Amino acid sequence: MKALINKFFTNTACREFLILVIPFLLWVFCFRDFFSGHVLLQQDAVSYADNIKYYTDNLSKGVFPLWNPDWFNGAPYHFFLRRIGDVNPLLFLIILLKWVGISGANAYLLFLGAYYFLAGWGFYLITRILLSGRLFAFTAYCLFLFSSWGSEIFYNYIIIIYVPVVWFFYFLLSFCRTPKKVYFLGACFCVGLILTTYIPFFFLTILALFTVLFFLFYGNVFIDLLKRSFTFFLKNKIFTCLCIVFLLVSCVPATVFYKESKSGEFVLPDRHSGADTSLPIAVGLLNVASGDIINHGFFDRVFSDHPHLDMGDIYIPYVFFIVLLAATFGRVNKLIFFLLFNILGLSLISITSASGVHRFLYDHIIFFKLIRNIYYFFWLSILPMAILLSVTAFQSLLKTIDNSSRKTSWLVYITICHVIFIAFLYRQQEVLDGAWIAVFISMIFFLVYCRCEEKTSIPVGFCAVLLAVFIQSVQVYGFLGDRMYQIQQDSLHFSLTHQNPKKEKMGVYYATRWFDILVNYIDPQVLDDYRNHPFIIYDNIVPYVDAPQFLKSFESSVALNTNIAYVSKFESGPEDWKSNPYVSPQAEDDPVLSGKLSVLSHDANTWKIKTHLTRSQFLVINDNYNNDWHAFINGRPARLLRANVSFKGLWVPAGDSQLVLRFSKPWVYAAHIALMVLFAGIFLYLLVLFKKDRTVLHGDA
Amino acid sequence: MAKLKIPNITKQSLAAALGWLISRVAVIYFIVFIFSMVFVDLKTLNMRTEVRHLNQAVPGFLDMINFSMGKNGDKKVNWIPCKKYFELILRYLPDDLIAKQLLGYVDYYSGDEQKSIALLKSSADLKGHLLFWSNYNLGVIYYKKGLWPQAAEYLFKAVSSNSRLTLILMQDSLVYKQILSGLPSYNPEDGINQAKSNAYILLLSCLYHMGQFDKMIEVYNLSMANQELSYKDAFYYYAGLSFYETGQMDKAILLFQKSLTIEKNNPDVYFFIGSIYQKTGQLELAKDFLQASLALHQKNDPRFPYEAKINLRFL
Repeated sequence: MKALINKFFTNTACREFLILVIPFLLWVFCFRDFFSGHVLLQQDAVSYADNIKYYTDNLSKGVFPLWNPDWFNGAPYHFFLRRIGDVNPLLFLIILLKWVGISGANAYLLFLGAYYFLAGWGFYLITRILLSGRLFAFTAYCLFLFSSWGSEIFYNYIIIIYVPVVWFFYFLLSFCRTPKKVYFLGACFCVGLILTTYIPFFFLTILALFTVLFFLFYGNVFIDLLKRSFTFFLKNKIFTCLCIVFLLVSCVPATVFYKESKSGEFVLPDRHSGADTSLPIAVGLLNVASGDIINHGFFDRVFSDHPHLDMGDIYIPYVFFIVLLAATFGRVNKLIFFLLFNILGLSLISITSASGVHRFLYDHIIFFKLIRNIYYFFWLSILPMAILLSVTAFQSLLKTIDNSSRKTSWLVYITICHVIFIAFLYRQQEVLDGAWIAVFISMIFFLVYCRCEEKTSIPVGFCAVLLAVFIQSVQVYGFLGDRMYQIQQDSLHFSLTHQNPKKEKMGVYYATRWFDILVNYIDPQVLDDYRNHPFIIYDNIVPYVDAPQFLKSFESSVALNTNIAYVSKFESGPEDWKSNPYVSPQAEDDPVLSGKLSVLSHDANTWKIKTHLTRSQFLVINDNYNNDWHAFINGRPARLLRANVSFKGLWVPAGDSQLVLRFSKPWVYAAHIALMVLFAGIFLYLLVLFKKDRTVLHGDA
Repeated sequence: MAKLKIPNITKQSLAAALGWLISRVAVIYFIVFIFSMVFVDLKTLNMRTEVRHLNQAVPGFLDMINFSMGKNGDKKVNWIPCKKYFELILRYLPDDLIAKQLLGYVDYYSGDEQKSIALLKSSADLKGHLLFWSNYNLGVIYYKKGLWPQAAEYLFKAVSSNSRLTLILMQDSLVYKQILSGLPSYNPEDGINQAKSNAYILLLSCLYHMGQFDKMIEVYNLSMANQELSYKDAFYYYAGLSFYETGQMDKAILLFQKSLTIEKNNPDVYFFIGSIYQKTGQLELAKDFLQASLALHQKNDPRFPYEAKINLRFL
C-alpha cells in the first residue's frame, strides 16, 4: 500500500495535496448545512441547479435537450445551454455520481464542491507562480476558500464562469514562463469553455484590462513574451492552427444564440426593459445599475455584525486586513501596483453610474450592452486580485523583516498594528469570538516569525494561517447556516398560511415571444386553466390577427372552451380555416380520457402521439410553437401551425394516425454532440499531458 | 532680510524619508484615495448606497398597520424594526416630514414620549401649510395627558389642515407606498376623514373640559359643514352638552334627540335628556331616561364615551 502511495504521491505532490485538501475539508465542514441539504440553494443557484439537472438527466437518457417543455409552456433550450456551458466535460461528473447511486441533489452539491475546489486550486497555482514560498500561496488559497466566495456557489452561478477564468490565467502565466503545448492547449480549452457561455464578456473585459496593464507595467517582458510565443507558434504550426480552429468552433454556439436572439423568437422582458437596442438579451442602463457593485456589493458586514451575515454579503477573514495593515511599511513592488490598477480599473466599471467609465463603455462597446450583473467583476477578479495583493504585501513585509537587523522594532510595530486593529474591532458591533482569536493567532505568528528560525516559523505560519482563518469562518458560516435555515422555515410557514385567492400575472424571465403576449393580455386564471389541458381537439379553425382587441375575445373563447381554435391569418391559408356547425359547441379538452389520443413517447425534443379520430380534426398541443418544430403524420411531413396565439396546432386526418413532432434538425443535434465530444476529448488529452509532465500542476516547476 | 536657509542635511533627509515612504505599501492607500477623488462621483456613490441601505432595511409593517387600525387585539407590537427603519431614513434625509411623523408615532408607543412630541412638532407643517397627521397625533397625546389647551390647539390645527396636501404627501411618499402595498383595498382619504371626525370629537371634548361652550358651538358648526365626516351623533351630543351647560335646555334636548336618531346606545345622551326632564319637572320621563342610561352604562359598550378609544394614528 505504501509503495502504491509512494508511486502516486511524490513528497512534493503529497505536500501539495495536503496543503490543498485539508483546508478544503475544513471549508466543507463550515458549509455542512448546505452540503447536507439542511439549507437549500438560494436565488439564481436554484435555477442553474434545475437547468443542469434537466440537461444531465436528459444526457443520461441519451437525449440532447434543445427544448424545455416545462419552461413557461415550452421554450428553446439554447439560452440555458449557454448559461450552464453545455460542453463543460465536468458536468459528466454529475451523471457519473448519479450512475453510482448518489441522488441528483447530492450529486449536484458534490459537483459544486468539487468545482469550487478546482477554483481554489487554480488560484493556489497562480499564487505559486507569482510569489515564491508555499506559505504565501497557502495563505492566498485559505483566504480565497474561506471568503464569502464559498457562499456564492450556493447563491448564484458565477462559479461556472470563474473556474475556466482562473485556470486560463494559470495556463497563461505558465505559458509566459515556459511556452509548452500543455499550457497553450489548457488556455485555449478554458477560453473555449468561456466562449460557449452566453456571458464571455466578463472574461474579455478582465483579459483586456490585464493585457493593457501588463504591457504598461512589464513592457519589456511583454515584448519578449510576444517574441517567445511567436517562436512557439512557428515551431508548432499545426498544433497552433488546430487550437485556433478549436477556438473558432467554440464561438459557434454563442454566435448562433446571438443570431437566434435577433430573430425575436424569444423574449427576456425584465432583463431587456429600458434597453436602447431591439436585441432581447440587451440590458437597459438602469437595469445594469441595479446589478452593479453598489446594489449588490454588500460590504456592510465586512467588519461587523457577522452573526447576521446574509447570502451575497461580503466576508473576508480578518487575516486579510491584518496583513494589509501590518504590511503598510513593507516594500512595495511592481506586482502590487499591477494588481492594484487591475482592481481599480474593474472597480470603476463595477460602480456604473458612480463613475463615467461604465457609461462610456456602454455607449461605445457593444458587449457592455449585454452585461447585466456587473458586480460579478468583484467575484471574478476584484476579490481574488485583492487577496493576491494582500498576500504579496505580506510576502514583502516578511522579506523586509528578514532583511532588517532590527527585528525587535518590527515586532513592536506589528504589535502596534494589532492593537490598532483590536481597537478598531472594539468599536464594531457584534464581533464574534473567532475574530478575536484570529487576531491573537496572527500576533503569535509574527512573534514566532521575528523570534525563531525559519525551520520553526514556516510550519507555524501554515498552522497559524489555517487556524486563524478557519476558527473565524467556522463561527461566521455557522451563523449563516442557522440564519438561512430559519428564513427557509419562516418562508415555508408563510407560504402555507398566506394564500392569495386571486391568481396573479406570472413574472416572465425568459419565454417565447407569443407566450409572453398571452401572459400580458390574458387573465392569469383563464390562462392557468387553459394550460391544464395538454391537448385540445377542435372542429372550427378561425384566422385572427395578433392584436390586443383580438386577445380579449380569445380570452372569452378560451374561458368558455368554445370549439374554435385560432390560427394566425398571416401564417396560415384558407385551406387551414374550416368551420363545422354540426358539432358540439365545446372543444374536447381531454382527448386522452376519451381515447382519441394517446402519447406513445415524449422527451425534451420529441412528441410521438397516436390518434384515433372519427373525422378530421384540429389538434392543439399546448406546448409553445417555434419555427424549428417539425411535424410528421404517418411518416409524412405535415403542416404545423401556431395555434391559439402561442401553441402548436395541426390538422389530423380521420382514423388511426401516428404523429411525430420533432424540434430542430438532426444535424444540429449532431453538431452539439460533436462539440461536446470535442471538449471532452481535449479535456482528456490535457489530463494525459498533465500526467506526462507532473511539474505542470505544482506551479513552481 | 536674510534668506532662510534649510540645511542641506535636512533636505536630504526629507528626500530620503519621502523616497522611503514612496517605496512602501502605504503608497497604495494614497493612490486609492487620489483615484477615488478623481474618478469616482462620490455624491452618486453615497446616494446610491443610502438607497440600497434603505431598500434593504424595509421592515414588515403589518403589525404597525393593525395597531393603528385597532385590529391587533392583545398582540404586542415589536416597534424596533420600524423605529430603526425610520431613523435610518432620517439619517439620510433629515428633513423628511413623513419619516418624522411616522417615527413620532412609533416613538410614542415605544415609550419615548418627549422625542415623539418633538418629532411630531417638527413635522406639523410644510412651509406654513398645516399637515393633518402630526397635528392630530399631538392633539391626541396632549388630550391623553389632560393638557386641554395644548390638545385643543393641535386638534384645531388638525381639523383646519389641508387634507388634500396630506393626501398628496402620503401618495408621493415611498414609505407610505411600502406601507400601503400590503393594503390594496385601503383608501387613505377615508382614513383621513375618519381621523378628522375623531379630531372633532376630541376638540369638542377639550373645549368642554375648558368650559369654552361658545367655541364648542363654533366647532360643531364647522364639523356639520363637512359632509364627509362620520360620527355626527357625537357632534350633536357635544353641541347639546354645550347648550346644556349654558342653560339653553330647549336647544340642548333638540340636539340630544338628534344624536339619538343616529346612535341609540350612548348612555350619556339618555342621562342628559333625563337630567333636563328632571330639571323641568317631568319626573316620569326623567326616570325612564335615567333608567335607560343606567342600563346602557351597565352594558359597557366600548364605543362610549366617544373619546375613550381614540388613539394616535398614521393611516
